[in-house]
Amino acid sequence: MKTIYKFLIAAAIAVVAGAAVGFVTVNPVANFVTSGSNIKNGPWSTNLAYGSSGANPYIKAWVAENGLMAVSASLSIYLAAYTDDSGQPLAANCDYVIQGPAPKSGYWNITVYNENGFLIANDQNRYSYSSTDIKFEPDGSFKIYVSKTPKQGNWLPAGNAKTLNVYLRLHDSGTAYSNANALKAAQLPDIVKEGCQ
Amino acid sequence: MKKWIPWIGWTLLAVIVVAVIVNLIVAVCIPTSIMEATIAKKFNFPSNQWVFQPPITDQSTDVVRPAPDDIYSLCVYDVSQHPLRVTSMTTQYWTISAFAMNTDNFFNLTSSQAKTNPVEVVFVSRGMTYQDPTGKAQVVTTPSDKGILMITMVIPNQDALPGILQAQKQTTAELVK
Repeated sequence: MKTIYKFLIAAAIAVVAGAAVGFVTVNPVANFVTSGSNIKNGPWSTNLAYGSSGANPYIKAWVAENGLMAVSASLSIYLAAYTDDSGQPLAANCDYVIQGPAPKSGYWNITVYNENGFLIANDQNRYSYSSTDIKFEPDGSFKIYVSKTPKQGNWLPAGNAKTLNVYLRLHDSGTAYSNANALKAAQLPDIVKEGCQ
Repeated sequence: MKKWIPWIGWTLLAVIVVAVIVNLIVAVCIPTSIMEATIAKKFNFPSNQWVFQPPITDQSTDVVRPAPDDIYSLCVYDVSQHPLRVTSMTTQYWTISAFAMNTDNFFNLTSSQAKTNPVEVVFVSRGMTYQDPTGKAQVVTTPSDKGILMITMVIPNQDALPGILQAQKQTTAELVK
């Protein structure tokens, strides 16, 4: 009889404690699994499994919570940067230049967001530059300045943001960035800190 | 005390097994529950009708990290009873994307892939068979009866915006009965 009681107590503890532990650890596990499968190139990172029906359940859960309606990499690739090239977090009181050769995409766009992931209000209503409205350098490369104070050329105002994050969206890229090896080897824009106030 | 040691060991093992199972089940359920909540709260408009979103500004906070040069049209589809025919004028950079209730992006078509303009796509439930009488429409079987359709039109420059808004308004959705 005692054995039955012991078994029932053990089973109850296992169900209650196991369910609680399993429930509260979903997000940490999803973050771990997703970040572990991210593809990194300099300050940029992405995940080719976003939006894919073949993605594992933890990546799907992460996408649902952090980027609902993410399209699959066959359509567009979104690369995020939260640091500069030296690995330092992007601070809005610093000046940065995003520079490099034009991405090999039919259409691309670079957007800067504030710490909440929203566009930064500014008098120019300028939140991004794209392949169709950016001013290129004579050699075909580009430079985008990110700062609180105005700059000549392609300038993205940092406004009242505290920290920054940058998104590079690549559309219609063909096979240029179609797999992990191509993305890791690609020459993506540099994010260089020029100085801080 | 020694008699309890095996029980403690087996109980800890059972806690781990239950935790792993619950963890996986919750992870599998999260996408669908978030989609249902999003449709109920943010996209709370009638099924099978397009809703044309205005251009993104710094006041747009419906979604995190909105693309400022994209203009979106959204449609909550429900093909449980009838197929849904979508017609849309394409612009220079145009895409239609379909998402199942588990957030899978199961269909994409871009302006560069489209064979006609306007584009016609008929979305059909898995249990239905449909033959397009016109032969113009692409027929797509949906993995779930409900989900979200999204058309994205890129605004390459502000001069193009009026034409894009005009094209956006010509997007239609109609149940095929």
